[in-house]
Amino acid sequence: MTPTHHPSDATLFEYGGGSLSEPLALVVVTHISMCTECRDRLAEIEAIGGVMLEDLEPEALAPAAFARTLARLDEGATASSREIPRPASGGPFARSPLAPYLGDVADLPWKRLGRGIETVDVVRRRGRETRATLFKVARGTPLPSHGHRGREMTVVLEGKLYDEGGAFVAGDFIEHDADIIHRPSIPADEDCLCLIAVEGRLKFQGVFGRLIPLFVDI
Amino acid sequence: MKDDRGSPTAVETFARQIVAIAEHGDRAAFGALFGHFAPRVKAYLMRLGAPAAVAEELSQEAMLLVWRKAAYYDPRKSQASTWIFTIARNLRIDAIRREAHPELHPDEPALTPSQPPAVEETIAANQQEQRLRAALKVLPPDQAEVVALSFFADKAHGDICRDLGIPLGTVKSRLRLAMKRLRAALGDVL
Ligand SMILES: [Zn+2]
Repeated sequence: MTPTHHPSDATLFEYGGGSLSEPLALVVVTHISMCTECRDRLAEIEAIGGVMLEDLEPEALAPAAFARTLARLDEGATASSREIPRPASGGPFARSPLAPYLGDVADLPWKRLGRGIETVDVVRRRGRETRATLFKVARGTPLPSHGHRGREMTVVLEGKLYDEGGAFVAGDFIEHDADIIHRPSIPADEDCLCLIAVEGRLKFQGVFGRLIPLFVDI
Repeated sequence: MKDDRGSPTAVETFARQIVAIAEHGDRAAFGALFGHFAPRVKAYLMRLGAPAAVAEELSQEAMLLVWRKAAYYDPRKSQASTWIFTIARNLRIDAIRREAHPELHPDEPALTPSQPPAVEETIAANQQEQRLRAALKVLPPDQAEVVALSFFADKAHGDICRDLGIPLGTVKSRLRLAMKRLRAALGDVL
């Protein structure tokens, strides 16, 4: 199935340019992994990055730089890349960009957040306030109306989610700016699995305010 | 190199050099790539605020990654400059911002290294870089500015709009318009 809701050009520029924080970038690339159209859009943006790189005025390196690099190559030294260990294969996320973040997918540390809602903390950055969380929501579970201090990005992994702008199915991408107040919901006959990244704590309101203790960590 | 920068010949040469590293650890090819790209990666890192000494060190690390990851480079899918840009971008995020840049899984069918491509197939899109460069040159300045900031500011667009004193919606629409023009210029090359 081909997703019909995609990240904006601006958001893809942030991912491709490298300015998006890791939790939000993870939601974007998870969508890209499910969307050939956005794979092509990203290729265009990264090609622009290549031209930008190519056209920079070169900064000379130290005279011995290449010799030093060859020496490091011979030492077998590797860069300090924080490549995340590959988890055992298998499971629904085996070839997903999420795989390196989840460890053993058969044994995810689901945490019950309230009736019908379970979550797994996937990645937190920037003082832990920006984070990506897996949500498993049982059919028909009401979700709280809330506002944001920062942006929110969602990719639906399984099932269906209703939000501003309609119904979203597997692969679909939803982004909201800081100023929106919204109340997503889940159909009565289908569970939903999605990955949501937010910047800053959520602001709850209305009758669901009483749920705040449950959501205090999201 | 400046004169034929981005020309189909130069673009193709860089791609072949990466393939030569993957195929037989070609140090001469690595040297040529290093001479061209390491000073540009250093400039990229400095443009994003890294001190010269840090940029020097990281540009060498980026070239080591070019060597190590050469087998993952597919010249049919991207220009050498594109691929090296993504390596430099990710290394900077790792080393300076202390985050990872989440990527497609390396076992994605689309990413798995294939048999070395036949020479004729190499860079089917070898004019892409020239076309993009030409299209970038004629972008309206307000669009060109936000495109450049997307690569060189390490700022979310929300912060960029505050810096420029324009609404966020304007930043977004300029990027959308820029992308439309650039995509049109690429035509069916990609
Ligand atoms: Zn898409």
